[in-house]
Amino acid sequence: MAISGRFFLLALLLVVPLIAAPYAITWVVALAVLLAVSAADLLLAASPRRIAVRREMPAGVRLTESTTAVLRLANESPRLLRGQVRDGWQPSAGAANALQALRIPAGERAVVRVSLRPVRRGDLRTEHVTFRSFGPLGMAAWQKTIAAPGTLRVLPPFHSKRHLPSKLRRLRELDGRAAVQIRGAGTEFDSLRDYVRGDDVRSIDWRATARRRDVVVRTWRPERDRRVVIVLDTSRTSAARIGDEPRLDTGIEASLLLAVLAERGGDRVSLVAYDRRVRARVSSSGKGNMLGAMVQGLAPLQPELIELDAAGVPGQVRSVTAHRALVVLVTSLDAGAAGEGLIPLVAQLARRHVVVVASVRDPALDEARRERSTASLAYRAAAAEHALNRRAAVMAVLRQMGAEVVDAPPHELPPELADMYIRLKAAGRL
Amino acid sequence: MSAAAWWRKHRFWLVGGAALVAVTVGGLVASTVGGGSADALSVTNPAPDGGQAASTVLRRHGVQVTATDSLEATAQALAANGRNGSTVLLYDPLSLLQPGQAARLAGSARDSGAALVALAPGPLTVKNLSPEITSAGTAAGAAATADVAAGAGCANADATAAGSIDARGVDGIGQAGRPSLFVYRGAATCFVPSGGTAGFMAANSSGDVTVLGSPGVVSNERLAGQGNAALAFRLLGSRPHLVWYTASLKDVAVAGHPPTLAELTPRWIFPASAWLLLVAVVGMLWRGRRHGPLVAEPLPVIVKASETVTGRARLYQDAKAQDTAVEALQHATLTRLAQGLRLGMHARPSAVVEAAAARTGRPRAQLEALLITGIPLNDKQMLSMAAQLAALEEEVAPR
Repeated sequence: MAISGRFFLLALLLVVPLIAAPYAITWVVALAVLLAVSAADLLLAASPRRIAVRREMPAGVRLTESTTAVLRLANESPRLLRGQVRDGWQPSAGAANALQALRIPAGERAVVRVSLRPVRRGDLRTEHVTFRSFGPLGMAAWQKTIAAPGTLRVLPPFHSKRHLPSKLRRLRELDGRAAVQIRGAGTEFDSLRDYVRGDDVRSIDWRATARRRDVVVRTWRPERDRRVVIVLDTSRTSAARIGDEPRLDTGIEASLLLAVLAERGGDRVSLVAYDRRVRARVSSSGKGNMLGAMVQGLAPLQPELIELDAAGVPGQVRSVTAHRALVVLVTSLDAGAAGEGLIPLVAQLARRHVVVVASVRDPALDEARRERSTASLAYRAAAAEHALNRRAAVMAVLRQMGAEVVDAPPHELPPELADMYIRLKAAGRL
Repeated sequence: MSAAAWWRKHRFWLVGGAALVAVTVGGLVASTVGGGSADALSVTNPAPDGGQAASTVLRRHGVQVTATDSLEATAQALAANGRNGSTVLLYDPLSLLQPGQAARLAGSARDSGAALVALAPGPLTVKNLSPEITSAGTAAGAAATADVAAGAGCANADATAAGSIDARGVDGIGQAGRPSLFVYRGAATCFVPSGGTAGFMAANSSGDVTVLGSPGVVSNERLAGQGNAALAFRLLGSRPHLVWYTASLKDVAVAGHPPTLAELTPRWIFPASAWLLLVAVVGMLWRGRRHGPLVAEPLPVIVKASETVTGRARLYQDAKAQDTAVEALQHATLTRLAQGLRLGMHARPSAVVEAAAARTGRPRAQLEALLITGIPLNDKQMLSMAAQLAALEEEVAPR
C-alpha cells in the first residue's frame, strides 16, 4: 500500500465542503469519499506480484567511470501497469535514476536503464527491485519488493596508467643497448651490428669482424622470462588513509603499473594479496589479458583488520616460483610490530631472491616536521621526526640486508616502483 | 585541569548563580519574616502612612480590632459583634465602592447599631452614608492646616474634647496616593480651616456617622500631633469592637457571564481542524512510505595514518617531555646534516658538528650545545631550539 500526492491533495480539498457545511455527516461523507477512491484505485491496479524481472549487468566498470545496468521487466498481469520502479542499489553505486516511472501495457515488456557512477571500489550489490502499481486514478498503489540480486564489480581506477608510456619507452631503450653499459652475469646476447663511432671498443666481436672484414660489435639485451612476484599486504596497516586514499589502494595502483611494465618487459608476473590468508592470486600465463585478470582479482580487495602473518609470506613466494625471483613487498614501514615482522621476513627472502620493499610515505609527516611556530606544533614536529627517524632506521636495516626500498608519497609510489624495476633490470640483477 | 583554570573557566556561572540564589533566598526571607503590609493605613503597616499605631493602642485598651477588606466580611463582622457593639472605620482610597454599596454599609451599620467613621470618602459615598452630611470639596493650603481648632460651631463632644488637630496630609494616604484633604458639612461641622465654612470633620445629628476629611489623623506619622490621638481614640474606641474596613478589589462587582471560546469561534472550526489533522496524517503516510526496504552500505574502516603522530605529540605535550621531543628533533637534524655535508649515514655526531661549524663559521661549542648536549627546561626553550635547528638546516642545505 502506498498513496500519492494526488490523494493528499484530494484530502486537502475535501476541507472546503466541510467549511461550507460543518456537520458530522459531512465529515463522515468526506471520509467515505477518501476510502472509496483509494479502494477503487487499489481494485483496478495491476498486481505488482506478476512482474517478471531479469537483470543485465555490465561486466565491470573502472572507478570514476559510469555505466548502465539494465532491468528487463515483463508485465504478466491482465491490466496496464502504471507506477514506479526502484532498483535497490547500495548508495556507493551512485545510481542517478534508481527511481523511475513505469508504464507497461498488459502482457508487454519494458527495459529500465539505471545509470551508475560508483564511488567505491569493490563489489557493489543490489538485492531487490521495488514496484509501485497505481490504479487509473493515480491515488493509491500496491507496493511489492521482489528479490533480484545483482553485483557490479568496480575495478581499481589505475590512474598510474598515465606513467606507462614513458616507462615503456625507457624499457625499450634498454633493449639494444651496448653490452658494456649493462655488462653482467645475466645479460643475454642479442645481435651483431656494424661498429659506429662511439661504441665501446671492448664490445667488438673480433671473430665476426674477421669474417666480415668490417668491424662488428655485439649488442645485448636485458634478460627475459624472469619471475616478478608482487606480494600485496592487505593487513590492518593497509587500512590507514594517506592523502585521500587508503594505503591498499595506492599499493594496488603501484602493483598494476609494475605488473603491466614487467609483462611488457618480457618477465612473468605473479601477484599475491596476503594477510593471514591469500585474498587474491593472479599469475601471467603467457597468454590472455594479464591486466584484465589482475584488475578483476584486485577489485574486491578490502583491508582486513588483522596482523600480517610475515612468516607465511616465504611459503607463498615458494608456491608461486621455485626459482630466483624479484620479490616486491608492497607493505608499510611503520616501526613496531609490522616493522619487526618485516625485517626477519626480508632477511629470509633476500637469501634467495632480489627483494624490493615498497611503502607509502605520509606527506603529512613531512609537513608536520617543518611546522614549528608554536609549542604544540613543535611537539607535533618532534613526534613526526620521531616517526621518520624510526622509519629511516627500519629502511637502513632493510638496505643493509640487501633489499631495495621504495618510500614515496601516494602519487609518486607507482612511478618510483616502476623506476626501481627498470633500474634493477638495467643492472641485470633480475 | 588545575583549580585556578577550573575557576577561570566557570567563574561567570559560579558568581552569577550564587548571586541569583542569594537574591532569591533573601527575597523569600524578607517576604516571610516581615509579615507587615505596605498598604496605606493598614493595621499591620508600621510605616509613616500606616495605621498600626492607632490599632495597637486601641487593642491595648481592650478594643478588638478586626481588619476586613470587603463589604461582605464587614457586614458579617458587624452581625457577629452584636448590637451596639462595634465601630466601623471605612477607608476607600481608590473609590472602589459604588454608591449602592456605601448605602448598604450604612444600612448594616445602622441595623447593628454601630458607629461609622469614614476617612476621606468621596461626595457620592458621603451622601449615601448619611443624607445629612455633604461634601464641600477639598481644602486648599496644606500649610494652614497644621493646627485646626474644633471651632465654636462644633456640636460634637469628641471634637470638642480633642480641641485641635493636625490635619496635614501624609504621603501615600489619599486618593491615588496623593495627600488630599476633604472638607464636609453636616449636622455638626468641626475643625473648620481658617477662611472656610466646611470642616475636616462632620457628623450627623445622632452622631453615629462621622466623616473625617483628613485621613492622616489616624496615621502613624500624625497620630501624636495636636489632639489627633484624642480624636481618633474617642471616635474609634467608643465600642468594644472596631472593624477596620479598607475597600479592596473584592468589592468590585463582577461583570456578567462573558462569552465562551466556543461562542466566539465559527462553527466549522472544529470539524475542519479535525479534518486537517487527518489530512496531516495522510501527508505523513504519503511522504513517509519508503520505496522498498532500506539498503545497507558496508562502510570501510577509515584511519588517518597521521593519527599516531598526533597522539604521540599530545603525549609529549601533556608529559612536558621537552627533552625527548628535542632529542628526536636533534637526531633528525643530525641525520640530515650528515647527508647534506656528505658524511655518510653512520657519521658520528661530533664529526657532524665539526663539519657544520666549518661550513657555517659558527662556534663549535654553540653548535654542540644545540645539536647534542642542549636540554630545554621549558616549552619556550624547546620552541626556540626547534626553530634554531630548522634554521641551521636551512643554512647548511642550499650550498
